[in-house]
Amino acid sequence: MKCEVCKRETPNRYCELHENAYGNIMQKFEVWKDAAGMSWEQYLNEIVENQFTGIWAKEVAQHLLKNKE
Amino acid sequence: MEKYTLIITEKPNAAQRIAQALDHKGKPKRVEEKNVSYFLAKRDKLLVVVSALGHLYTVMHIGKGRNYYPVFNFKWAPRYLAERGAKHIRAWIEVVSKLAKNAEEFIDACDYDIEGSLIGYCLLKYACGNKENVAKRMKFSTLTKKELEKAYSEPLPELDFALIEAGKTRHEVDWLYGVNVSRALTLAAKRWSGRYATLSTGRVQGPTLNFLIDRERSIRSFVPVPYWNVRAAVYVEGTAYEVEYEKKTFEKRVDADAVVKACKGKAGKIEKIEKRSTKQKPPIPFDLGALQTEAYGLFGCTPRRTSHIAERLYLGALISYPRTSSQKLPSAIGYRAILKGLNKERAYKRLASGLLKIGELKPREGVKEDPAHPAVYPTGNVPERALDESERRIWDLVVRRFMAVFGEPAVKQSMRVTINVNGHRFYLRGRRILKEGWMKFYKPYVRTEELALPPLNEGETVQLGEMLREDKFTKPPPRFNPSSLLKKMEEVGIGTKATRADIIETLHSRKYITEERIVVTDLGFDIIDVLHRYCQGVISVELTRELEEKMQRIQTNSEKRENVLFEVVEGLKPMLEELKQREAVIGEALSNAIKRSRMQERIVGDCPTCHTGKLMILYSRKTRKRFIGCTNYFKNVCQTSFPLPQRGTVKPLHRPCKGCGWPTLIVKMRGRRPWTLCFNDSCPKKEERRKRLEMRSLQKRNPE
Repeated sequence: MKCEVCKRETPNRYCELHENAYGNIMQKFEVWKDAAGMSWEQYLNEIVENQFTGIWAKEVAQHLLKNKE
Repeated sequence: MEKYTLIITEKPNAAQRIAQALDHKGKPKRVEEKNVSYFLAKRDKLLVVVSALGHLYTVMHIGKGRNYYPVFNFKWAPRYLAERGAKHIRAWIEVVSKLAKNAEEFIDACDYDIEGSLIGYCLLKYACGNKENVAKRMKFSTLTKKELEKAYSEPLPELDFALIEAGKTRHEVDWLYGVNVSRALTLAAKRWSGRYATLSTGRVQGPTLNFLIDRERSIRSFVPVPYWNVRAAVYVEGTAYEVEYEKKTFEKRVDADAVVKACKGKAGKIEKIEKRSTKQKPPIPFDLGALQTEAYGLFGCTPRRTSHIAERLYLGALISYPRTSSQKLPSAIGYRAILKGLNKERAYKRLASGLLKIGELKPREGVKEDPAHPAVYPTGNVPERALDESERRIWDLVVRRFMAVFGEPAVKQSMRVTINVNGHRFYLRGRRILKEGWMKFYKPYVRTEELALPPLNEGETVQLGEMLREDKFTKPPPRFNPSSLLKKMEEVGIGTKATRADIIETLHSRKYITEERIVVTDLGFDIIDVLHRYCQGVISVELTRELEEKMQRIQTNSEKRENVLFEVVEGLKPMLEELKQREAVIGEALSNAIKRSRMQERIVGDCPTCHTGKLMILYSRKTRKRFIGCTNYFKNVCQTSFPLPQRGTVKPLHRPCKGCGWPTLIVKMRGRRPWTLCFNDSCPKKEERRKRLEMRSLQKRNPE
């Protein structure tokens, strides 16, 4: 199986690096929802645009947006 | 020639200074043989002072060829046998050997630390013919005449063999790790791809890269979280002062909005005025790490550069030996004599004379000690030659820090004014220095901001001015810079004060890291990935620290070199076996990483035409000429291309052009200053330049 983002070989959906970023995205959504009342899609768009978001997190967010997940 | 005493120093400059200090007229005779200089000085007897050139001997593999591992057999050999580009060492050793033949007494005057002691020992043992047991040792921390004369007249009766043993072990252990693991990685990549690329890692390099990677992972996976704060200004006597809300951050936007709504345009009442005085003790003297950190923070000078500059100042007898981990200044260095010396320099006259008036001078010291040398201090000598800008800065920093440690504590006052606005509290803060104390010595380098407040009284009413809600985000952990990385290495106890800065440079030169605010490259990631899977010991901070501690114990005779080496070899054997078994997989991973890294190096930036492709340095198959092309060309999407100079080297700068924002390149040609190239033909900067040149040529043609 290949990582859906970077195509590295992995037994899971994402490689270790992107899996970690994906975990962070999922974990932080609740905080964003509570703080600014955002939907999942708005949240993903926000973190893709945000200058402090790490490159791997941005890649995962872009991938999720593209696949409308 | 009569019989003489042969004095061996670490570097040519030190030889000259020692010869000058010991010659009764201060004018030793310089002799040159095979391009190697040495000095003849007359004192109670003839002295011949000859220098090494750093390490002249090194650890070398017994056996031929480089294309295999593991290798555990080694010997100490002249560097010209072990390293390419060290041919000049041969003449050096020959001259020292020749001089040793007529010498009746030997003195080792190399720097008094692990490396210096080892340099002197190797020359005495191998070049002078086993004279290490009869040689005496000069011990000094500055190259001033007074201290050198004392060190010469009262030498230590023998070399510090424990220090030498520790030094030997360090070199041998580093060689065992470096040569074996680096060979394993390089050969794995070469056998898989057929192309050679130097891949290296080492006992300290591995763990250092590993914690850089830990930081890089956190940065790249970071997801920020929003928070808000409320900022406002109050007007006092027509001047606006910034105030902060009692709650520093809000986790919900609505809460911040509610405060703004409740307070906007309202007046506030001063509820309380609190004043607090604090004493700030003087700083402690510089050890090398602290000097490097301070120089980086103040002047942006990398740790390695600071170390080199400090070394030059030491060789110029302006400061004491800089490779020290001591934060102590013993009274034996002669505080008053140093200050009297500094008193001769106009810039320090007022400050030094002020200190000289104090009855008993007592420095503030730190806890760290170094048995070999005190903290870094100025010798009191004034420069004999004009110092360049960077030398002047570092010298000034050392001088001022030295004087500051004798200063009185500074007294600061902070003031907090609590303003109640419609039930919400805001704080107005001010701070000022009541008594400068040590700060007057260290003034240009003190980072403190004063904020004077106007006279205010409790119960007074103030008008709130502008008020706004600020949208903020949590930030990823900061990237390491050379200075913070050095500090981290020091904290975790890996490497030595002499090697840490060089290890950071090696990581750069191997292309495992890039940029000043350090970014780990894909190659760096892949190297650590391989080591993490198959060779964990090489990147383990704990194992490295344990080993450092063992080597430290050799210095105090509580551990044996043989035991440490045995343990290292036994630890390496299974790791290397594992690497060998997985050579194909590792080779593939590393070769791909090298390929990616080479491709990455050629990417110039985003394509300004199609905005989806990347501009890359490419080579024409037909003409072999280089040019810039868009990666989308191969998909038949974008035909953008630009010509490039065909001579010299061209590298992407990863910095946009100031004129048009396009990516830029740096071009380096022999005999010319490197220049930045913007390949946008209609860049406004180019247009400006064109006009300027036209104007100039017009002026030349019509001088009136």
